[in-house]
Amino acid sequence: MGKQLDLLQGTLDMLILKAVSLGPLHGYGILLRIQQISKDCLEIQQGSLYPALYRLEHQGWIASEWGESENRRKAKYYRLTAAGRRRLQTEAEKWNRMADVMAAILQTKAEQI
Amino acid sequence: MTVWNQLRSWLNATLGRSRMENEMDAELRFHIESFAEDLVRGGMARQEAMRRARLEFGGIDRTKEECREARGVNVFDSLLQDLRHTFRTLRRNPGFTFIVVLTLALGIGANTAIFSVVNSLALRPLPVRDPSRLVVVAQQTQDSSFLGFLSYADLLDYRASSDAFSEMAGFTIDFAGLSTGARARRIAVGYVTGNYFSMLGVQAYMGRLILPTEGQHLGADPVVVLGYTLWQTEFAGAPDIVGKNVKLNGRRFTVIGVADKSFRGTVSILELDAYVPLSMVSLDPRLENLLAKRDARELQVLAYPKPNVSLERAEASLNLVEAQLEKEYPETNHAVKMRVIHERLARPTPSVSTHLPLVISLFLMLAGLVLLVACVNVANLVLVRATLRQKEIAVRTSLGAAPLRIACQLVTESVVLAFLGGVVGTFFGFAASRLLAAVRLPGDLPARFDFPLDWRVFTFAFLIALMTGVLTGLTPIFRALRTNLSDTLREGGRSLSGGTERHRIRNVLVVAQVCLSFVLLITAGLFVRSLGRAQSSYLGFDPNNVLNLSMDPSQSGYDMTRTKSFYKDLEDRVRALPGVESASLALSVPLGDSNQGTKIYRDTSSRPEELLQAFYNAVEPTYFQTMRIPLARGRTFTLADDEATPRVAMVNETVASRLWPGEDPIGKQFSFKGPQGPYVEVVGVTRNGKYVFIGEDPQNFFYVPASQNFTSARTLQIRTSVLPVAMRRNVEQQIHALDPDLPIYAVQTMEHSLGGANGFFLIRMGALFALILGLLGLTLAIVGVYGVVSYAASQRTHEIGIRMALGAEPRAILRMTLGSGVFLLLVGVSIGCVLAIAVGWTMKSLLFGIHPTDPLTFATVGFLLGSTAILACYIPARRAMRVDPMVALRYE
Repeated sequence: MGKQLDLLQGTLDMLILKAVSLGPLHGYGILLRIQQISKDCLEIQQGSLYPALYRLEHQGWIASEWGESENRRKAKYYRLTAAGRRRLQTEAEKWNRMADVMAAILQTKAEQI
Repeated sequence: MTVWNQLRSWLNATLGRSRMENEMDAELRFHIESFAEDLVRGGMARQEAMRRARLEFGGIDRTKEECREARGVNVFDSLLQDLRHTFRTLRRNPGFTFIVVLTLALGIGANTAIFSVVNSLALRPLPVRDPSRLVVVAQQTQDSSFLGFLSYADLLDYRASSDAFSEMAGFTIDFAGLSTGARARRIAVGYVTGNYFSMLGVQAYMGRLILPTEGQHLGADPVVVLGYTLWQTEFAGAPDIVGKNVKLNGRRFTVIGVADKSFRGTVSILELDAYVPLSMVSLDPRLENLLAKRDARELQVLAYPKPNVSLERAEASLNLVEAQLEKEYPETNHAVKMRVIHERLARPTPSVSTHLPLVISLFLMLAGLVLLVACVNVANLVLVRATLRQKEIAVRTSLGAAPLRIACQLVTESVVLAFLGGVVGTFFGFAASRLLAAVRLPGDLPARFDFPLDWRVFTFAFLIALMTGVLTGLTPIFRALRTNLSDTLREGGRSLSGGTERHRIRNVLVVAQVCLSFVLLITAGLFVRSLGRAQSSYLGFDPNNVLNLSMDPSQSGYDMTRTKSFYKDLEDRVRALPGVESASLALSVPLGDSNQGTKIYRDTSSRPEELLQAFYNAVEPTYFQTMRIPLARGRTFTLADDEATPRVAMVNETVASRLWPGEDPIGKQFSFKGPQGPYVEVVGVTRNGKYVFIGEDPQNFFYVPASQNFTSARTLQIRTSVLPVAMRRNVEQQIHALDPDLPIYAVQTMEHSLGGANGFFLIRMGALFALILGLLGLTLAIVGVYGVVSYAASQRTHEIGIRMALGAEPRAILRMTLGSGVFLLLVGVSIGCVLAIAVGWTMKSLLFGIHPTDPLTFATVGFLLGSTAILACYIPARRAMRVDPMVALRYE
């Protein structure tokens, strides 16, 4: 369980932050948004979404308030806070740097060494 | 900012718990329903869609739990939840709760009671300035291991010459007659050096206290400070007491003040009634010489070392002064060693304090053993219940409870039980210490035993309750976490033979109980045997049918001539009473509260190191007849031995053989006043007896005639042909016919007097304490063994049924069930034997005429423990034997 979960957790946090950065969403909406923008490539355990949301809210990166959903029901909407926006930015930078480095490493050929 | 955010979110979560729960519910429901709606839109039937949605979402409760955790609600919340769960469980099992709480309460109560005694004897600080730095200065003379008091002259020299102390004060205690009107009352008076109160930082409740400038010249400064209690009882708390006159031993004193309410003197178990300057020892015939003589070692000395001076350095500095004094005064200060001891370690007086740590640790250990037995009992009960609860635990685990959460739950449960036990136990302890406080020393020493429950006692009780809780909680955790989930669920919490590992733990518990209670009982047995030995030991006199009455005419202001004629008249009157066989007056009572010690000089050339330390009594010719002290050689005193005839003495066999080995002591001379004499001639030798302390080794003792050695305080001893207490009123009437105002004290039979601090008191108390603890331990252990064996037998009902169905004889079943119990018993007793011998050796010095491995004690305890334990095994074994195979097999 150890390492993979850590990675997955970090990724899930970033995905959530990105999803709500595009506009306030309720939990189910976040799930759908992530599936939509990832073109269904990522599958998210539905149950694990909420603990992550609570954790992010606890850390002050997202905030929640109750509103009305598209089907006229009461739903809890999450939006990105200023701190969350900064967090997303640094996370994204870190991720991009990491991806570049990884890509460079993986593209390395024998004659380049 | 985030810290604030987290705090707010945690507070919201914790305080607005139900709101958060509702919101969480609504949010998750919304999610699942939205998902289901999407599925319906995709063409699925509504019911099927809901089922799918729930399934894909996963464990809702687990998600909620993780959400709560993400909020940080859990630490606090799960504790609350555990507590709620615990109370619900305990309420549902009142029998279990009652037994566990009672068992723990007995163990904790015993500990609290013992600890409150220890606290009051050794831990509670005196109500003085900076009590943790207060030390006692004591002297070790010659080769005696006893720590003794100091003389006033020595105190002055140490104070002047040692640079290690910021201040040093001395005091001594004696009785005096206090009178305001006619009749005098006997009170305990502290004779204190002038700086006593100022050094200790004691405040006056009213008026002023004794000043450092007072008390330096014999007979000067007739002022008295009253103790708060005496002021309340004798003077009804009169607000105008300061400046009034009272009489002490017939002398006029001015009351200058009342000491602070909390201050009772500086001897932990005695309460002093009043304080006068040391110069007033002139009141007291016994202490008259205190200011003048360097070998009048009567002062208890207290001191504060200077800051940053260690006890070792302080002691070394005093020994340096002492070496100088030895050169100057070789006669009195030969081979004197100085000791500096922390005040708390020198209680109640330095001379007996050497045994105190041993006694304290012994009894704390005994009480600890009782608690351990109680813990083992409870651990076993909890274990049995944990076995029954395995199914519950397995269900909770499979529902997603983390092992840690379950462990927390179990510990919470046993800690709650332990605290309940602690609360009830503290009440038990309080009740027990109230009973102990009611214990009175025979005679009338102003001993004051009180064992208030202060914060130390509560902290102690709290800590041992906590320890107990964790200890008893750990066993089932250890077990619960190792059980195999699916097995437990499948088996329904019951296996065919109960599982070997479970048996092993329980067997260890039984062995531990047997072993611990064996040690407890052996200790109790050794004390009880010591008491028996002490009480049946030969005292050298016959204590039956003797009545004692003490008085001191100097307390009513009598001079020597008046005292003599008073005593003469009294004796004539008492001897004429019906029922009086013989009567005599003596300075002290054997094994009583006060004794006269001195040194014996063989001749003028006796060197200091050759002197014999001895005790003596000043008696009348009829004394030996009254006390029935057998004469070995020579004669007793006669009426012809008086001031006009040569001075005589009688010695005991010990003195005779040490002073004149192989020679006839009759006609030999010695001095007990100094090398220059006066010398006394030995006219008789008495058989050896007990004189000062019941546990003493053969003691040097001699008698001198009262007619040649005047003392004011004497005890009238009457041998009666009727019950001695029946004579009491008659004799008191005779005394009051002579002087209606003379205080009479320590009116008691000789047998009663033997129960005093120097007699059987300590051994009796020790035996009583040890016996109570021992029986408590035995009861707990037997209940425990019975519980384990009968539970084990009931667990094996199924197995026994099979065996019997296969043709096993009931007898074989009995042997099997009983056999395992007896085996455990034997193992426990063997280990117990080894431990008991170890404990016995450490307490060897507290035993009286009994070897730590006394075979009778071991045999008796072995038999007692063995028979009760076998009985405890036999009852369930018999029940097992009677199992009906059909019932047993259908049982599952």
